[in-house]
Formats: sequence, C-alpha cells, structure tokens
Amino acid sequence: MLESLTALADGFAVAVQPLNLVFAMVGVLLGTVVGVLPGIGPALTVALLLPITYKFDPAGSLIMFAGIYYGGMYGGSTTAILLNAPGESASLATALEGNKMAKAGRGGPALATAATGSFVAGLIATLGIALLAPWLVEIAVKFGPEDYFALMVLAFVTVSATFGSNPRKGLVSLFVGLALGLVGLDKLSGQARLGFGVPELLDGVEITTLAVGLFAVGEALYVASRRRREPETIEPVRGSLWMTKSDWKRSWAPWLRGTAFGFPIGALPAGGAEIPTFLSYSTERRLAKHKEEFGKGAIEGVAGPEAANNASAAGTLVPLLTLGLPTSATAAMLLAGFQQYNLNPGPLLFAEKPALVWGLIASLFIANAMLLILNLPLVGLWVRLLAIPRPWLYAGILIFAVTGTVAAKPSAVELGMLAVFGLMGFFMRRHGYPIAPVVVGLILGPLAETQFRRALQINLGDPLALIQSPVAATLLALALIALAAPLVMKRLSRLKSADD
Amino acid sequence: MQTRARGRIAVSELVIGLILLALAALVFADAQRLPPGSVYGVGPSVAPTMIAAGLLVLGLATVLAAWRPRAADGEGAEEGAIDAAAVVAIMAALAALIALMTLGGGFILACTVLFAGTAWAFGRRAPVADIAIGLTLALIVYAVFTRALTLALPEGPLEKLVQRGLDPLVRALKDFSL
Repeated sequence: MLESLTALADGFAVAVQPLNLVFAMVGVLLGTVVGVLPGIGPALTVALLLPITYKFDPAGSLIMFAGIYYGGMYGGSTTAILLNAPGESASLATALEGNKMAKAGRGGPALATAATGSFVAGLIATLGIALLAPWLVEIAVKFGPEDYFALMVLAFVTVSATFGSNPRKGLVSLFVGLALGLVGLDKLSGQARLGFGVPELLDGVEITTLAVGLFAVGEALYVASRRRREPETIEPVRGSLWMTKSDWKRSWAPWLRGTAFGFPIGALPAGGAEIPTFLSYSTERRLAKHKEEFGKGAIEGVAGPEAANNASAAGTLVPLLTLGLPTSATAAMLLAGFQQYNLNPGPLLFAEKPALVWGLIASLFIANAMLLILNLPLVGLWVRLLAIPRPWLYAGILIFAVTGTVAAKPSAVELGMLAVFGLMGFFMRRHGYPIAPVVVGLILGPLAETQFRRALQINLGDPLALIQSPVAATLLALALIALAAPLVMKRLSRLKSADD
Repeated sequence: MQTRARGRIAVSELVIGLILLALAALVFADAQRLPPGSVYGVGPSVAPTMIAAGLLVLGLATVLAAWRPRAADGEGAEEGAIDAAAVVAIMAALAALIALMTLGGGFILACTVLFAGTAWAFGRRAPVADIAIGLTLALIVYAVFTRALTLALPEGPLEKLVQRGLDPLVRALKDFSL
C-alpha cells in the first residue's frame, strides 16, 4: 500500500517533467480535436494518432497516449451532448439526457458536469489502479502459461459473446480477428502462415491498419450510404457555461456512484463501458429527486454515466498493465502502442520499467486535470469542429486514415488491406456484427497461441496440462459459463414468454 | 430491429455464413501444408486448425440462422435502401489513390483525388473548390508529417516541387530560432 503510493509519487515526478507535460497537453488537445469529430470514438482516435508518435521515445509517447485516450473520450461526450451522435456505445447513455439539456439551453452545465465528473472518476480510478495493480502483479507473477491462456480465453468470451446483443455475431467477429491474427510468420517456428507468397503479409496484419480500416473507412462508407436520411442538428451552447450551486449538489453523488459502477466492471476482463454507463443511468433515474426531469434533461443522467464511462476506461488499464490483457478496442490500441516499442505490459514491465508504468498512470491523472482546465474554456472551438460539413469531414478523415497507414508501411498491399477492411467494417456495421472483437482477436490471438503452445511444451504435449492448475481450471470454467449464460438466459426468457 | 416475414431467407446472413465457411476452408487448407510440430508440444498448424474449426461451426450456425430469421438474429442490422453509388464512389477514390501512389503520382496528388472523390460521393458538386481544399489539406499534412514528424511519405512530381520551396523555408526558420 505504502509502496505503491511511493511508486505513484515517483510516477508523478516523471509526469511533471516539462517535456512530458507538453506531451500530455498535446495529447489531450489532439485527442479532443479528433474525438469530437462525429463517428470517431476513443479507439479510432488512438489508432489515427498512433503514427504521430513513431519517432518519439517510449515514455513521452505513452504519456501522449494517455492524453489522447482521455481527450478522445471527452471529445466523444461533447459530440453526444451537442449533436446527439454518440461516437461509441459508451456515450449512448450520456446522449440521452445530455442532448435534452443542450436543447433546453443547458449545454454548458451538461459539458461541465461531464468534464468534472470525468475528473472525479479519473482521480478515484487512478488511485484504484495504484492500489490494485501491485496486488494483481504479485498474483500474476505466479501465473503459468496455462493460467494466462485460460485468462485470455475468458477475455475472448466476455468481449465477444457474453455482453453483446447476439453471441453468435460477437463470436463470428472474434474468429475473423483470430484468423487475421494467424497471418504472417509464426513466432515460435518461423513458418509463414496465410502468406500466399506475398512478402508484405509475412509481417502480419498491422493492428492500426485493421482498426483504422474498420472504424474510419467503414464509418465513412456507412455515413455516405445513408446520407439522405436524418439530418443532424447541432445544439449551440447557449446560456451559462458553468454549473449552478444546485447543479453541483445534484451531480456529486451520481459522480461517485458512477465511479463505483465503472471502475470494478472495467477492471474485470469483461470489456465495454456500456454496462456500467447504463447501470449508472438507470440507478440515477431511480434515485433522482426530480424524476419528472428525466427524459427532459436531468443533470444526474449526464453526471453518472460520464463518471462511469471514465472510471471504466481507467479500469480497463488494470488488466492491460498488470496482465497484458486488452479487454476493449481502445485497450487493444494502447497495447499496440506498447508493442511498437517492444514493450510487453504485464508483471515484468512493472518490475523492469517502474518509472515508465507509474509515469503513465500519473499522466492519466494529469491528462484528466488538463481536460478540466482546457476543455471548458475551449468549448466554442469544439462546437465549431462539429459544424464542419459532412463531405469535407469524411474526406479529411480518409486522408488521415491513408496518411497513417502509408507512414507506417508504405506499400500498395497495406493500402489495399485498408480499403478491404473498410468495406468489411461497412458490411459488419450494416448487418449488426460488432467490431471490437475483431480488433481484440487480432492482437490477443497470437499472444494466446504462444501461451497455449508454451503450456503444452512444458508438459510434453499433454492437453490435460491446460486444466491442471486450479487457476486455469477455474478460469476456463468461468469462460464456459460466460459462453453458456446468454444462451440459457434466452431459452429461459423464451420459455417464460411461452408460458404466458 | 425489424421483423421479417416467416419463411423468408435472410440472404445477407446466408452470404456471410458462406464466406465464413470459405474462410474456414482456406485457413484449414493453409494449416495442412505446415510441418508437424516437434516431438513434444504443438506445431504451428494446431492453432489454425482450431480456428478453422471455430469458423466452420460459426459458418454453419450463420447459414442456419438465415433460414430462421428471428428478431435476435436481425438485431443491430439495418434494413432499407443504401446509397450504393456513394459506397462505390468512395471505393473508387481509394483505388485511384492506391494506383497514383504506386505509380509515382505522389502523396499530395493522390490525397487530393481521394478528398475530391469522397466529397463527390457525399453529394457535393463543386469539384474545383473541393480539389483546392483537398490540395491544401494534403500539403499541410505532407509538410507536418515529413518535416515536423520526420516520417516518409510517397513522393511524386508535386512533392519535389514542394521540397524546393519548403526546405529553404524550414532552414530559414531554423536559422531564425537559433
């Protein structure tokens, strides 16, 4: 406990170095600018901005990521509130009341409670990481390869099947990601898999190309395909920018409750911020003194979900940093950020590069504080970004998508893959297949395979080795339950409705 | 969410299911030509075989789902006409960009074409203005990426021209700041 606080203090010493503060600020600004653009969520924000950091040193670049991540999330809530166009499912709950508030001329307080709530949640969640991480690291050090493999299987199931609306579609997305993860040279044997004699494919599928293709190009195609429908209206920010005394009074408890929902759910390898944000929304709705305001712009309905969103985002960093386990598309992108420096998050990284890891954790906190200071005064600028006409906006997004891809790997094959992934993202979106499991499958699949083969190798190829450790057996059993649960629930509810 | 008439086949799910089956076959066939693993442990073909099996099961499930389109299977999917011309136009703009970059047209020219093409796909009919905006944006991105971030981008005739104008400027700025 005391140790981790000292480590966190050391982290702050790293984070407040002037150059690192600049990195954090540039990250926050860039993240907000990109995240505020309609249709761009935090995962895509990080993917689009990843190439910018190629030439930086790891510490500075990871600190910039922290800023981009938080800026991207805040930008997403701005879009949700002012445009009623949540860029990702985690902002859906915010849009419900936030857009109503903006329509009623209370956009300023809505943005303010979102920013302040994110700050409060980020502060508590960062402390949570600092307390939880060393403890988890101690457990993780004892993990064998079979335990890691079981943990990854559990993450696969929860990310794709358990919490989605349709487990089959989630699993389809996951397995497409896993298949893409096979492409390239096998790490252990050096054999080429699914290379088809194309030299560019030997390096494997770049995660940034996949994410940018699926999210950015897919989104541009999707919006273009339905541009003749539903014109969007931007709510101007009228009236006071600041929260009144009663706004504060009504916001603080939802912030804390939202954090209490968000952090634990984010920290479990369950993935996704939709669940805590909607839990928070329905709780606030139930507890609110002014129930009649819900549906017309109740500030509690913005304060709670926004805190939950931010806390759960910070929570997903716990499995990412301590176990190397990404449980959301954004976490997968952050893992890619680590990997470009050959850094593998996990217990070893905590031991070998404490300054880097704790500096990153401290930067999360600083990025949060910067958001609060920068974003409220700059709200006029963000609103103007929302007003960019759609044709130019998406044409510009495509240029950035292409630039990032050719800067990372200048080849026609890579650009071709970007276009194909874009088309794939478009069809997936149109037919209700989730995108995050593809991204998680691509990056986590090869890691899971390595652990799987290592576990079998140690035990002379005996497949029972996978369930010999009690930890692995328990995790695999949990994965099985998580896979069966949605199916059983559906059967039950259908039986019930048949009885009626 | 929409309800489909009973007995109708969900063509999209059928096609997706068939694609998954084809993918399963491809992954499985590729795994077959890999050498077996060492005496102990597993070789590089085990994971592809497992993934192919998963794809096979999911592909069959998806094909089956096409025959009994329940509400849950259509969930998240969208009905209604799409503007196919817009999708084709953007894909064509991307293809033009790839061709230009590969054939030495350079980054700036290729991005200008992509910008104007996308704007056209979104229904704008002012190509001259869009080309001008796309050119400006591409120039700025090129300058930032190659000079400030020192990343390489594909070069063509326009880039050579820009370098002749940009580099003295960069040098002058450096001298100034020193």
